[in-house]
Amino acid sequence: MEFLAEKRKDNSRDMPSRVVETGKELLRRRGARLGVEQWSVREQVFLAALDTNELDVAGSMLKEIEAQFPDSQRAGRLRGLYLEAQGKTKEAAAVYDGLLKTNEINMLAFKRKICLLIAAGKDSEAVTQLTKYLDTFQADSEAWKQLALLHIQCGSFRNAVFCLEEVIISDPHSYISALALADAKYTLGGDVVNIVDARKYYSLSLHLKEGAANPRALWGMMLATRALDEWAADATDSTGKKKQQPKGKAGSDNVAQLVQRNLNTALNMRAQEHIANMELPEGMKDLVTKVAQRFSCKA
Amino acid sequence: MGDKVDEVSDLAAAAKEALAPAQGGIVGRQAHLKILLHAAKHPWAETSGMLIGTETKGKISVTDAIPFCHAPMMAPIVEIGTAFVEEYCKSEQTPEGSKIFGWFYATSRGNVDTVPKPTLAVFKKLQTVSGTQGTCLVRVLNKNLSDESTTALDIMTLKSSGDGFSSSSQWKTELDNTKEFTKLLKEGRQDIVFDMDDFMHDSTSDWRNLNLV
Repeated sequence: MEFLAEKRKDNSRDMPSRVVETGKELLRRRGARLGVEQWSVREQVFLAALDTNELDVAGSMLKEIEAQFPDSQRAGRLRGLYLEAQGKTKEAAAVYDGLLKTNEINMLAFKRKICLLIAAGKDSEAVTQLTKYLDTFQADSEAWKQLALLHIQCGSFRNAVFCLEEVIISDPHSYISALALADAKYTLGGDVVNIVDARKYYSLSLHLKEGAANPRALWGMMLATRALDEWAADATDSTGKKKQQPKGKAGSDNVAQLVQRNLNTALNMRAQEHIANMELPEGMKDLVTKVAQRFSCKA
Repeated sequence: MGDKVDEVSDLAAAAKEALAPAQGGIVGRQAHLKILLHAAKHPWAETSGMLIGTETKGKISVTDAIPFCHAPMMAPIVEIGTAFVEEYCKSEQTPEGSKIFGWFYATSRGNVDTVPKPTLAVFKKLQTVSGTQGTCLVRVLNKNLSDESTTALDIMTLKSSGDGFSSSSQWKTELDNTKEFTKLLKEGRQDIVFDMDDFMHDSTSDWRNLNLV
């Protein structure tokens, strides 16, 4: 039961086979004695059974839920999902349209219609509809994340950065949101300002979740600081004379101010120290040391 | 004089062979199963990763698949992951002469055939970095996963025009069906596949998946 509760709390779809098996057993042994929680468990098993393609299990869970909550919009959405799993996308769309007719601000139904577009590979249309959705429901950070994902899949990193900035505004204490924005800024690249921003957001992520508990931010920090170190090195030649910067990029004076080479090196070394002390699987230490050396600052 | 001519001819033939583009190859059992198990662990996400192997006389043998992502693919994970794979190939943990020979991916959607743009960008970069003519792109055919008589993989190479991929008849798979994959799935083996995304979240997750299959 703790396993199922944990998965519901995290809103995680991992290990769906185990969720189905555990949930079915729990309902078989305790069923009605679970009280109101049984309906959350049934819904959870239903969703996991869709992932494992056990449509008979999903169908039986749905039948019980619909019997208990006949006019529920939430149950209606599950009916739509069940139809989608069977490949009946037109019928599913009709269910969602019905839900929206009853309640035009049913966010879940609106979003499922967008999911139908994504499933059909109509990414451009999905972006349009999701953007329209977000015009109304601007605080839906999950929708911003989905829109960011669509932009990433299309290779539109500038738009992805915009979406992830909205996510971080709605959840400034999430180290994962800071990490995603840092990754997107680094990927966007092109200008030293984006890499400096990436470094800032990796720092924020590490501030929110420190050191070895946040390996992705540590590695990202090493990448960003190494890139900035190279950029700063390129900004001046061997005599220390400033080189002419390519058009469109920050000028040499700005690069030095932005990069702050000493700070940059210190951040890189700090990340390396944490990485050197990480717990690793057997035989991985040597690989980690060599890769960390690749991303160390020369200064 | 005759011996010298033979020697020069042998050297010329060897040089020609070394410089010629690789003539296809084979995706081994371990790589095949890891690709499918990785996709099975994250059915709602796009999964991807790198292929490594060895080359003998222009024929490539893909011996392993290193899973990278089950989250949106961005530059940091690809750069760091590639560095790890390069070091792994140089180490004693892989067969001598191991190199990067391609990329694999699986979409979360059953009916999308176009190669995602980020995947195309990564593949082209791999070709320039690995310096290998025989780089392949392996795609999981979601529609074939329920048919055990198929391999559920499509092995593609870049068209000479560079603007798309085509299935390659010069590439084969060691396994000609997915019966073993089904067996591993029933054992829940997909739950213990780890990728670079997992390693970046928890450093004890082993992306090498040494005893998986």
